[in-house]
Amino acid sequence: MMMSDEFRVIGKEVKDVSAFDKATGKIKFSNDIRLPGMLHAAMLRSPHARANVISIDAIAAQALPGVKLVMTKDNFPILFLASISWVGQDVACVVAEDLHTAQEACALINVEYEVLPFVIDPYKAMEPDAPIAMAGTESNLRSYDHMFFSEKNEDGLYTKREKGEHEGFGDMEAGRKEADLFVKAEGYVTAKAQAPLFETSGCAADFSDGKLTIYVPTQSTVMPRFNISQMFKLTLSKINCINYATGGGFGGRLGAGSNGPANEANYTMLATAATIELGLPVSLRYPRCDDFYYYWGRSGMDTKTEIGFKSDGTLVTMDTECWRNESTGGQIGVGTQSFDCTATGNMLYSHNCIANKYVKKSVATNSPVFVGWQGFGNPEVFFPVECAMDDAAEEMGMDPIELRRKNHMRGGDNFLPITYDWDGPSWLGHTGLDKCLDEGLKRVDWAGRKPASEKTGNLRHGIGMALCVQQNAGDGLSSDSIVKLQSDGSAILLCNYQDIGQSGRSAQCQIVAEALGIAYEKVKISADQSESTPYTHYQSCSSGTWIVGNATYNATMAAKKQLMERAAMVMGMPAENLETMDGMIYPKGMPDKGMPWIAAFMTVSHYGFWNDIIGHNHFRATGAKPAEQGVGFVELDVDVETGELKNIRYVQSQDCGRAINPRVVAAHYLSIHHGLEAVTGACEQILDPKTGKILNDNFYDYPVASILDHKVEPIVVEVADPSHPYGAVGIGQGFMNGIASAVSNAIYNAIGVRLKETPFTPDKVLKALGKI
Amino acid sequence: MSEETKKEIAANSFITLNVNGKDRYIHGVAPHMTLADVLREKLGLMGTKIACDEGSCGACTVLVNGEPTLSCMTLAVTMEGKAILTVEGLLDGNTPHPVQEAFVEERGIGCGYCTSGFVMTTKAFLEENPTPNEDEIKEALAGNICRCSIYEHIIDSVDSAAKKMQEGE
Repeated sequence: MMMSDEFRVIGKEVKDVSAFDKATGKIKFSNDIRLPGMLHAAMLRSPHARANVISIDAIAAQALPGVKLVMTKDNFPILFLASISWVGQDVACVVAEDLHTAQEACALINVEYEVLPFVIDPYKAMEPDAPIAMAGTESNLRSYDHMFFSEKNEDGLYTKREKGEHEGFGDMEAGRKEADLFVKAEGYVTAKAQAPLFETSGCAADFSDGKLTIYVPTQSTVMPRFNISQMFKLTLSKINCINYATGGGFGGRLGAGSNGPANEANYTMLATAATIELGLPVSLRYPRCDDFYYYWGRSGMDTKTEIGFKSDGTLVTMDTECWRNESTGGQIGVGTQSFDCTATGNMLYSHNCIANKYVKKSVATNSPVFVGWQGFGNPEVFFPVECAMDDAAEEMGMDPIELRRKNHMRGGDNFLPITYDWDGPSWLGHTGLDKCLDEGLKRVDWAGRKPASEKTGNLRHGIGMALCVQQNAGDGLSSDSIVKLQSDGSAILLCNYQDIGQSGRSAQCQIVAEALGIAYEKVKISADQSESTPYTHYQSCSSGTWIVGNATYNATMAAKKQLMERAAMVMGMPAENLETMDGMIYPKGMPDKGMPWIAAFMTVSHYGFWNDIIGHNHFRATGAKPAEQGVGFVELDVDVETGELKNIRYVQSQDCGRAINPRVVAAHYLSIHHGLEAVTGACEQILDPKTGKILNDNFYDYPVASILDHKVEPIVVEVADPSHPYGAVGIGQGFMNGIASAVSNAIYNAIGVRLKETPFTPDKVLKALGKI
Repeated sequence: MSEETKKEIAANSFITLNVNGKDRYIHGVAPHMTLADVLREKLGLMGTKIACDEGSCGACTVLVNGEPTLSCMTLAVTMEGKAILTVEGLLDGNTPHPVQEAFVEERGIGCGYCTSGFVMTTKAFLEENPTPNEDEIKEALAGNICRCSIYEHIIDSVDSAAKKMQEGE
């Protein structure tokens, strides 16, 4: 029985508010927007990985009938760089009456390049005589701020955070003296893998009479609006972002094509520049191969950790380092380094850890640009950590699960984020990890595991596990919601919640309905337009249910308070003696003595039945922190003749605090399929060493997860978190973090060898077995 | 556009396509235009999505004489005289097709970008195999990619759709 049986709407598997429109083809994605007089744009891209653009001859292109505008660095220097840093970088954009004409015109543009030496191998890029990947830099090595915690209070919580030489806390020298043994995990490599976006990038932009409207796939309307106002000097109030549905987010749609030419895909800025110039709507849509120039979201190479334990398994020190191949930036991608301490003593293993050190390093290369993806830097670090924990368990003769149980974070433990603001001591709200382990163990025969040495035959069975945790939101982040009660017992929620396929809009409606005691169908969310909704925290950081949910709940209660006070005036008794259900207000315990909402509304004005009763809330995160917490169990067979991984079964047992909609929570955990494609599949970025060009920029050569590949079994665990009105925490990312290590642990159990470089393709398995 | 393209369009300026039960008379169809392009740009039927434009993902699936067809790999001018059915054609007034209803109820829909392709493939499949097992469902849908990867819920949706169609809903 789910905990949610005590609620009317929370915990129910309601229909998504947009599902009908998606199933019938009615909903419009940004790529579907067509406006009168609309023009269409196509891109010309660099064939070189590193070059200077010397000159661009666009005369023939401009002369092609139907071409309206050719944009290059010559006439739009803020949109195009003279310096090229990867194959596929923007060089020109042609706007024409139809897409075919725009594409024909692109082929007529002559570009003179000064071709320069490039470097795509991250190890070569570290060498002192390596070609410099980016103009204006003297080295390919990058360094970032590290945040160090100190000064514990009487609750054992750190009270000070300041820049330091590494992340973490404690005196490592003193901490190491407490350890009886150390376990090292070195040489772990997470290959570059593409965030799974199905709707290709693009923007429809429409500028008229000083007002700009953009339609763009996005997880955030605030980012493109603010960036546009800065770049084009447009007034924020006159920039409206409309989004009915986004075809996939997963972290890849955070910048929304507005972070400038050096950083990521820049489609929103290009379309905006064109519409401002021409005064006509412009649609720029990328073909699939162009999307393969962007949205690479994993790149940890040479990740290692050394963990110190007492002989009874108590974890006392962690010393971790992660090198990243950060391409030539990508603002969101580089930002992933600010999240990746989750696997360490800062969070997951904060319970017993005396000293934690984490160093992040990165190197620039001329490979396509890097963006965020679920986990946001954490999968690369969980990989060596959760493998090291298994190695440690083996060395100490302990069950790997018991070692996790002994050391994982508990409610009240330090939970130390290195990004976001720092408002003071930060602790974990609760832990559900033990319950997740208990539930997961019911589905796999963990007790029956045999070591690899006892296995025979061509197909060797293995079971492995890994913990996974992801922080949700953080200090300094905020969200606003507005709820408008209607006189007939219904409500409208104003909340700029982006639909990236996560049914978040529906969950917000469930919160409103539950708090008001009305049916789910009586709540409408208005979320499509930025200008008619309040600032809503962007859909990332696994924080929609949590930050936005808190704001929505509080706004609902603010409106409800006014409703009940007005009802109290009419009914002649204190508001605290009244309750409401299904649009009726009555003295507590006396439902037959009620009156409908409209009677309270008549106190608002002479035409009260037309009025709204409005509640607003501004919610800001601080204090107790929620976290996604879970366990991944993997069962698979290794074919020792072919090296293939077969019959892959992934059980994800994850605590969501409270499932607003259990079916939706389970759907999130099914994302593991596209995490597996880059671990047990063959998905990694492959570049031609001669040119730096992507060789697998399509779904044939980058074989994304299909319905045939693996089985994923979600277990929705609920341990209510105190930081949310219904106990809910985030659900969007955590499971990604454990995939590589859980699979590596399963393979180790099957064949006794440790695979450390994703993806675990048959050649790697056979090499590990010494067969090739 | 170039003179050459203009000439090509003039030579094939007008085709008749039967779409969702109606004959549509369409001007300015160049020989290189795909069925997906024509459905979307000429007829405004945006339910059919283009996600790869090279036949590798199934998002553009429509039915041509009842057969699942990749509209991004089909030249529009070759489609005269055939019955084309798109996702919009499954909705009867306010009443969705049982396949559409099943995908809504079983939440086989995430971001929705792959949905019309899956719905069309499923409709044709269930008409051919009304009582499929799970392996048969997976084989039939192997050519449709879902990047939200909610495959288990898609299988549930197909299962539910099969039951609805058997019950004659």
